[in-house]
Amino acid sequence: MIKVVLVGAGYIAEHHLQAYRQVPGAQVVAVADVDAGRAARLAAMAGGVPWAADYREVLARGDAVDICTPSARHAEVGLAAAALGKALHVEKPFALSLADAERLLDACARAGVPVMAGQTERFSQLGRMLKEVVDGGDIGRLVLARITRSQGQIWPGGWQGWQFDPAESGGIFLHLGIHTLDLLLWLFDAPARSIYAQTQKRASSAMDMCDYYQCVVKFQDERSAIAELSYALPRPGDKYRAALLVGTAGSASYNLAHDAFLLDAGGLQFVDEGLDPPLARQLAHFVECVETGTPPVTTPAQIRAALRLALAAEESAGAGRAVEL
Amino acid sequence: MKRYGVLLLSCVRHQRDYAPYIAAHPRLQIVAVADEPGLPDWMRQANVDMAARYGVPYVEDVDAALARADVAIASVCPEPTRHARLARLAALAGKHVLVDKPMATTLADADALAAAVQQAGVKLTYVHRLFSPSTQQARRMILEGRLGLPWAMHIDFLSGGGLGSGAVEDFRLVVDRTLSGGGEMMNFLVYPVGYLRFLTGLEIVDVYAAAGTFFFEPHRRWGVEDLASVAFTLERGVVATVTVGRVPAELPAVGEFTLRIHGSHGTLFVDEYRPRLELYGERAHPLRDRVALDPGAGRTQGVLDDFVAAIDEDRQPLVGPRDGRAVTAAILAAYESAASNRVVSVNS
Repeated sequence: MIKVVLVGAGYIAEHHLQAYRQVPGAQVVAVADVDAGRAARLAAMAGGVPWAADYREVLARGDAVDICTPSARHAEVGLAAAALGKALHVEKPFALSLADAERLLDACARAGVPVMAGQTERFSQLGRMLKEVVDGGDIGRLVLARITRSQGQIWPGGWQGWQFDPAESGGIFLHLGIHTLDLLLWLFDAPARSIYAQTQKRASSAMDMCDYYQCVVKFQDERSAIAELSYALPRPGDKYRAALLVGTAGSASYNLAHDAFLLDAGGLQFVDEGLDPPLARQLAHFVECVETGTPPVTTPAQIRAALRLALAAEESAGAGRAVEL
Repeated sequence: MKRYGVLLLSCVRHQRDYAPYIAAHPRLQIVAVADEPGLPDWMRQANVDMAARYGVPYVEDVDAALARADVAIASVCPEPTRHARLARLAALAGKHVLVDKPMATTLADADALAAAVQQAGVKLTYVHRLFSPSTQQARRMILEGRLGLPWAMHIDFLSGGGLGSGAVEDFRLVVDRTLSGGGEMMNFLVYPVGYLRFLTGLEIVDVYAAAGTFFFEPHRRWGVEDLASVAFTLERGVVATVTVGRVPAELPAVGEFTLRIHGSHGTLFVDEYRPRLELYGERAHPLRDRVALDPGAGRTQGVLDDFVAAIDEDRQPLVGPRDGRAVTAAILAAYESAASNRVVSVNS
C-alpha cells in the first residue's frame, strides 16, 4: 500500500482524492492546505485522515507526496518532500521557472526518488490513440498537427481564483497550454525550434490571465503544429476537442462531433464522456512507479522541454514575435 | 436578354474546369480562344484542344482577339504568373475580366491590374469559393448576429489525393515558380484568406507562417512548399489559424475543408462539403462520389452569376481588384514570414 500525502486541498486536489479511490494500492493518508478549513474538509472526505495548515507537519506520513498547491509553491513543497526521500507527483505546471524545475529535478535525482509531472495528455485516451497512430506508422512520418481544446469555463473562485494571478499560475501557457504543448512534443518526439503565440481575454478584459491562445510551433525539418485553446465558449461546461494529424502516408482526424450528441431543451450539446477521464490512469501510473521503482513516463527531459516551450509561448505572446528555442 | 461573348484568354490552368460552366450559362457564349505566340508546345496544345472542344477559333494574337467586337468578357486562365498581365491587357482593351486565382502573384502586378481596371471602367472578378453554400450560410448567420461578434477563426484547407488526382493539368503549374509564383500557399491560400475577409469583413493585419515540403517529388525538386501552418491577426484583434496544402492521402470528401468560427455568443462549425450525401458501393468512385452534393458546381456557378449581374447592373462583383490585391499581399507576407520566422505586416 502506497501512502500518499496531498498538499493543497483545492479544486484539483479533490479530483485527485477521487481518482486515488480508483487506484488499488494507494491510500491518501494526510492532507495539508494553508487554508485550514479547506484542509479539514478534504481530510474528512478522505475518511477523517490527519490534516495540517503547514504541510511540513504531515509530509513524513506518506511514501509519496502529491502536490496540488497553486503552481508558484510547487518547487518549495517539492524540495521539502524530496529532502525527506518522498516520491513526488507534481501537478502541472511542474514549476513556474526553469530554475525552479532544475532545482527540484536535481533534488529528486540526488534523493533517488521518482518524480512525475501531471502532464495528463499522456494518459488521456485521445492522447494515447494519437501517439499509437504516430508511433505505429499508420500515417507515416508526422509532419503537421492541429490540436484544439475549447470549453465554457466555470471560473471556480470567481475573481478570487488564484489562477488569475500570473505570479501564482504562470499565465495561460503554463497553467493550461502545457497539456497540449507536452502532447505535441510527445507526438513529434523532437525538440521544438520556435513558437509564435497569440492570446486574448474573452470572458472579461479585466482578467489578469488570458482565456484564449493560439500558437504555431516549428519542429525540425520544417514540421509544424497549431495548438489552440479557448476557455471562452459562451455556455459554461460546454466542451469541444479536436485533433488533426497529417503524416507522409496518411492523416488522422478526431473531433468531438464523432462522439455522441445530446439534443435537449438547451439545444445540441457535444457529449464528452465517450473517452475515460485520464486522472485515475495517471495516478495509478505514479503509484505503480513508486511501488516498482520504474521511472515515470514524464521524464525529467520532457518535463523541462514542456516547461521551456510554455515559457517561450508566454514570452512570444507578450512580445508579439516568434521565440526561438 | 443578350449574351456576353467570352474570350478564353489562355487555357493553360483551370480553364477546362470553368469553361463547361461558361458554355452552359444562359447569358454567356464562348466565341474564341486566344493566347500569346511562342508558347511551349504543351501550353499551346491546351489552347488548341479547348478551341476544338468548343468549336471556336484559336487566335495566337492577344491584341487581335481582344479587338473583336463580339468579345465582352475575357476568361483569363494562363499559368498564375501571367494572370495579371493578360488580365490587364483585356481590361485596357475594354473587356470585363474573369481571372483565375490568385489574381496576381506580385503586388506590382496587382496594382497595375487594379489601375487598368479602374482606368478602363470594366469589371473584374477572380475565382473564389465564397459562393459555396456552406460559406454563404456562415456569412448569413454572422450577419444575423447568431454568433455574436466573431473573434477567432480556424480553417483547415487540405486538398487530398495529391498531384495525381487529376486536378492539376501539369505539375509544373504548381511548383515551377516562374509559372506558379510559389508553391501550395500561392495556389491555395487565396481561399482561406478569402473566407477570413468575407466572413469577418476585416482586413488582414499580419501573418506568421511555417511552411515545409513533405510529400511530393516535384515540390522537393523545385523547392516549393506543399504544406503550411499559418497564423493571422485581422483588424480589431481578431485572430485566425490556417492549415493549408496538398496532401497525398485521401481525406474525408475530397479533402479537409473546414472552418470553425468562434463568436462572442457561439461557435459555428462549417464543412464546405456538407450538407452531403455519401455514396458507398461498387459503382461509387472511392473519392469524388462520396460527395454527391457537389459544392464546386454551386460556387463556380455563383461566380459566373454574380459577374454577369455585376455587368448588367453596373455594380461591383462580390470580389474585385482590391480584394485580389489584399489576398496577394497576405500570401506574400506568409512567404516572407516562413523564410524569416518573423511576424510580417501585410502591405495594404
